[in-house]
Amino acid sequence: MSADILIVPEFGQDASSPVVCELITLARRLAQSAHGRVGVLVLGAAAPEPDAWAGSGVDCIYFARSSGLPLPEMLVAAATEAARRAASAIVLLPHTTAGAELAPRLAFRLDGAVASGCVDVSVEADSVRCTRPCYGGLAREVDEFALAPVVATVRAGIFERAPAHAGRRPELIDLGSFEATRARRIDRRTEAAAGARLEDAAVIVAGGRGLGGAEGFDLLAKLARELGGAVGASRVPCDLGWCPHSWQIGLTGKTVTPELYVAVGISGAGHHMAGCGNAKTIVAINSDPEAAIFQDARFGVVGDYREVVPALIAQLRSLNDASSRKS
Amino acid sequence: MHIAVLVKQVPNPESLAAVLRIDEAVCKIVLPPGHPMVMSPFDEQALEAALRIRDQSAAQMRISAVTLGPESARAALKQALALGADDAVHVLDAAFDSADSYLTAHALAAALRRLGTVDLVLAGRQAADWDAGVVALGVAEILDLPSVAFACAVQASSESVRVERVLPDGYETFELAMPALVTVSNELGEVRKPNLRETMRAARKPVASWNAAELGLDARELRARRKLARLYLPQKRAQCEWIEAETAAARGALLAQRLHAERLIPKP
Amino acid sequence: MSKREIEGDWVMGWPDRKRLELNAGKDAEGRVLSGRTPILDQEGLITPTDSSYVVTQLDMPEPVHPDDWTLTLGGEVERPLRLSLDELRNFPGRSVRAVTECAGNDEGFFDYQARGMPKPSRRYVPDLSRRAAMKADRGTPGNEELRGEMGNTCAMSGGEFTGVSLAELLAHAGPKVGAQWVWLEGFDRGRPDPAVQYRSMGHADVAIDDPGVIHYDKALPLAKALDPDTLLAWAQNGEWLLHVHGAPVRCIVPGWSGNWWVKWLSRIEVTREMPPCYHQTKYFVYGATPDDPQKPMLTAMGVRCIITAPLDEDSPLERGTHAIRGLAWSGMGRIERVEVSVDGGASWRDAHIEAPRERWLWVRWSYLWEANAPGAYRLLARATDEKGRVQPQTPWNYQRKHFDGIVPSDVVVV
Repeated sequence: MSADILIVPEFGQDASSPVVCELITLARRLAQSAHGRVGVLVLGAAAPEPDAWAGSGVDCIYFARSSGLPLPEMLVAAATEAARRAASAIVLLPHTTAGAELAPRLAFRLDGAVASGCVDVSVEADSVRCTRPCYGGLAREVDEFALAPVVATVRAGIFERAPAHAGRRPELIDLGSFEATRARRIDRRTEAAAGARLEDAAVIVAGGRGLGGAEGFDLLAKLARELGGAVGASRVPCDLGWCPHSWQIGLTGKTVTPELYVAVGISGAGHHMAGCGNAKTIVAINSDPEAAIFQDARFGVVGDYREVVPALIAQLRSLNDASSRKS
Repeated sequence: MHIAVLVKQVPNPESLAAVLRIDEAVCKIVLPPGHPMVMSPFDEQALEAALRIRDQSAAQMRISAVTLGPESARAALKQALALGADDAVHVLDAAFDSADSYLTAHALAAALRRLGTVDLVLAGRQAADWDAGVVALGVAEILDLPSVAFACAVQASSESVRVERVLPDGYETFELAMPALVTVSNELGEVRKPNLRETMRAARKPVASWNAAELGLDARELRARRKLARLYLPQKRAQCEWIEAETAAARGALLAQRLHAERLIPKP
Repeated sequence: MSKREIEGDWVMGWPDRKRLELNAGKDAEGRVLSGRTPILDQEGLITPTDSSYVVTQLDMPEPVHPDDWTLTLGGEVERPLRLSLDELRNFPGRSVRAVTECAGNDEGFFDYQARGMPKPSRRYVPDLSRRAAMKADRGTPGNEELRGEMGNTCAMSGGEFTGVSLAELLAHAGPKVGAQWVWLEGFDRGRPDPAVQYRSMGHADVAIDDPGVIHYDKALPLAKALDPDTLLAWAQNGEWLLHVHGAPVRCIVPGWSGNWWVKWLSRIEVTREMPPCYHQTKYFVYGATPDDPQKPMLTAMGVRCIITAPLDEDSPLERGTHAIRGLAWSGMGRIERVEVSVDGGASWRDAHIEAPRERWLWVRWSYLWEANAPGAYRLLARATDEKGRVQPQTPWNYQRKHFDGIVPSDVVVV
């Protein structure tokens, strides 16, 4: 049997986007097991240049016309059309706001099944297995579905970037344009993020309830500057208004995969770890030696962050100065 | 206006971390006896969104709480009624005992159809047990309703509903023609507590119980699509190296030295 | 005045007001290890069993089946006894209504009154689960954390206890001439947690004696042991004693602080000399400083009178009539008089004491205050017991035990 894989990236992402590269890696692996092809759905004002996707590992591009940011309704229609054309067995989306919103509707429209927030997807004989966190990140489930379309949203940072596939120039298939009649977007505001985007940051300094107030984030920002990173947060400070909601990392926020994750005053509940558990190195600073975060941390500091963090910043600065003098 | 709120009863997630065990042989969670069951927190927020719409509207408003679950799930409906819902529907049938999101969405969609004219369906962004966030959007698809997920604010007029949501890099606002479905996220904010007056009124509010046959569903035709192959608690991976020193400040400085020595600070 | 929102709850399937809820510290399996009574919200004199405070010095023991439990009474007696629960229950029974109060209750008010520290709040809710986790790991709080805590409060409850007079049992066994002490031992064991004593002192600057793993024990002077109201109780508030409260049998020592009320009782020994019980010679002792050579054991409590409403947190108050309410009790007998001052102690008026006035139980009292002029008011209440004792009886001591000072409510009328 053969089964095709379709990737539905976020609007505006292309072959160079890290998230797309990760999905291609997974898609190629699944395509190999299922003896199928890998397709990608691209929305835009103009058809993409297939050469831009050459060597990415994608076999064909499904193009749907969209003058601006598409509405969820258009996305479902376009993705359904692409999945039907390709007779796709598996549709992969990034586990983002748009992806998690689109996947269930797409699955029900295709009369298939859906698994959200997956950390692994595999094909075995004639079934698809999806592994995903549940119970607030405390547990993992492995779902088994028949290969009659399965839609999966996949968390970022799990798969490596695909190696280049020499020379393959994908085929371009035009799906036409799609309308949304029952919904319109009436406003979209972007907040200028200071420093690196959380999703791309190599270092993240994140604060939790233990900061005790908004002013704690000023100190974390200083530490983040010293480390060349970005500032994030667990859910509680966002809900309490200590920091913007866009800083939230966790099951219901962003999934991040930095090299270094410094968790300050974060208890380490499962729903937070679901968003940062794949960081390469986790450092925890917490006044409570019992905090669960220490079970996930490589380094643990017990103490009041108001004393720990300034000393950490000062020492980092002098170490930086020393090493820059040497070189 | 008629608002239906989809709610689900889950084991209290606040106190789950310390007590959650899993029987891997049967793929079921094991809870200590007496572990409290509560309305899923995001569903509380969906109900709060409905109540805020009613608070801000002069129009006649009916709020129905709808759940699918075992006999015990009635407590979640009673809580919804105590918080201010006007009536409730309990979808209850042995055929739904191990329902997945596919089956649940079809059963709830059938219940909403039977409920009559519903202008707005609200639900939590995901239930605090499986964290899937599938059922409500599946209902929207089955009933062919426009939908927006992850709302932080919902305002409804007689014709349309305005939905704001938080994005990774900002906010966006949609307008949907009613009837519509919206899932609500934690950014909605603080929810109210049941007060005595509403709790007492709630005792007289109607709770309908509908089974599969009453919903016109053939349990043989509708089968779960998900097979739970495995359920387990992941192993914690790290061995924590404790940074030990006399004072908190000394520990901070020592941490900097350890990070530096281990070359764990990426070069920009 | 706008109507207050009252929280509702489903009780036995019916809508009701929310019930009293113990502020409990639990272990990872959800088992209660400690708890504080929501005393400000209690109506009447008897604290519901589920809301009665729980303090345990050593480790919570595993429960013992009532059929497997025996009590031995030996030492300086003519006829040593070994009794099953059924045999114990064949002795003539007795019920006593009494206040149980932790010796360290309201300890934070000592520092407020004697050392000018900020006034603690009776609404302070400590994180008892965190403390339980810390204890399990033998962690201790540092001075900084201790400074952030407000001290123990709400560790008191009123109850009706049913059992047999210890005096009945002693009469049966026949103490020998020269017997002075009745040594009571529980089947709970453990190593005393230094954090408990650090919290008691409010700092961690003194080395704590470590006796290793011990049973909890106390030695009652014979005279108090022979008081007919000193009981071995198997029931509380009309039902079998709960495990957290010392089932199958605990001691009831009315008027003396909670550490005397030995839980999970298993052994009684009559002695001539006072045995060196850790919780009688090292902890639960008076003393001006940790080096004080004189460290007498704690016994009867002083005279207590607390205002439950209005508290500082209820301020500002509307002009008009307000009921000042509270509870009063004493370690030496019934309350005879409660006086209230609304002018910081310049003048005092008698408060109404509600019936019944029982010897060991607290009384509820109230005073109608016509607060017609805006301004700041300092409200005080003080009690006198049947022995003529007034407040305070107990001076500052380094373990901050048996606080019985007069604590003001500072409110503003607008």
